[in-house]
Amino acid sequence: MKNKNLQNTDHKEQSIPEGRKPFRYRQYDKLDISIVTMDKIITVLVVLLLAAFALGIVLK
Amino acid sequence: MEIEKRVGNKNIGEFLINNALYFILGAILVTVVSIKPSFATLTNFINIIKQASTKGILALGCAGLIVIAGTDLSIGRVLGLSAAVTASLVQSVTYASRMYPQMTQQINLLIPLFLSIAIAVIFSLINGFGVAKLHLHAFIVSLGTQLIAYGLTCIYIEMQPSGSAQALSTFNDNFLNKAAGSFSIGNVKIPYVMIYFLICAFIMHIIWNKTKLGKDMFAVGGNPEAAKVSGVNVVKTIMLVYLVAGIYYGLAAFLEAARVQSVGANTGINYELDAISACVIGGVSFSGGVGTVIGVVIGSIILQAINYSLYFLSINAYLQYIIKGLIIIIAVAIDVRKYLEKR
Repeated sequence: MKNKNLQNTDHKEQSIPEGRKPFRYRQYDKLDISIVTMDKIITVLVVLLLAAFALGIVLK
Repeated sequence: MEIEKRVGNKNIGEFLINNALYFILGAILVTVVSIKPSFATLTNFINIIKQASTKGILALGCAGLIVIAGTDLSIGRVLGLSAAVTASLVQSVTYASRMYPQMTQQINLLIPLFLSIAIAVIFSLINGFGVAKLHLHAFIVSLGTQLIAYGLTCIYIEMQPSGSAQALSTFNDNFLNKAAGSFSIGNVKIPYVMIYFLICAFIMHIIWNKTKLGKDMFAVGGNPEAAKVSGVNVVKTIMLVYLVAGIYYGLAAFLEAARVQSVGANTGINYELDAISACVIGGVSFSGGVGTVIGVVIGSIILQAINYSLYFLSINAYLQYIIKGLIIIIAVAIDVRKYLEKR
């Protein structure tokens, strides 16, 4: 009986949750961040990049 | 009507964000041209592609490893070792300080080419075995082989009859003409290395898109467990991807020796960073299972164009590092966003 329960548990853990794409993006599956936050991060990075480029032109 | 307009705006917005990197890099290049119009010449364009070619071949090899959610830190040092062996075998027989004074006739160029490829393949297969069979992290196993390759390069270069560690140089004309030569179309000189790069990209495109190895590679990169239960031989696939990468590294080393014309212990240093950066900029996802060959080619050229333009504008060397670092982080951030969008 015990073994049967264990087998069932294993099977449950291995099954792919509904809606997941099993062949893609395995490592990002646990990401807990919204698109809006990500957009803000990208915007900040872009501003930093442009600032560094502008600084480079000014300081040369 | 209102909803359609909103959907349209959303699609445009997402298109802009998903391709933000290309727009920014394009804007940077436009700025460079507007500041220094002499930048926009055919000679500069060919120089950029010429310089991008050998690193592009490295990136093509490395891209497969990133698609299977791996990486390779040994690329630069393995290239250095292969290039050193190539250089020692193609030195001019009239050069007094050559590595092998007993060599009185030029050897067939296929010998150094095959040796270069064989060395790179051996190192690549060691990495592949560590990842596929021993389940080591690609980062750590390639860090180990990187140090081994560097040690071997230093020992090999110091084996010169003079006992010095001077760079191997003065190559024979046949080698230089074939590996670093060019042909003319009208007034334009097209370097052979550009053609080699295009051929390598075409072959890799076929491997990725038309062969079982390519399909298996994307399956393993996306989810190794799912690929395994679907009947994919994961170990064999990983080993083959590393084998192909090794062949590309060896070829790149052969061409790089001709391009730089002087191979020392520091040849190839940090090339892995350029190769990995080109892949990331080209849209190869570090999460595995995503990437295109054309993306890698474009990534290599864009990265080199940025390097060249920053140098052309005489921008402070330290700021150049910061700019390149930010470009890589933005590329990864956009990759994460693409995932979030699809989830």
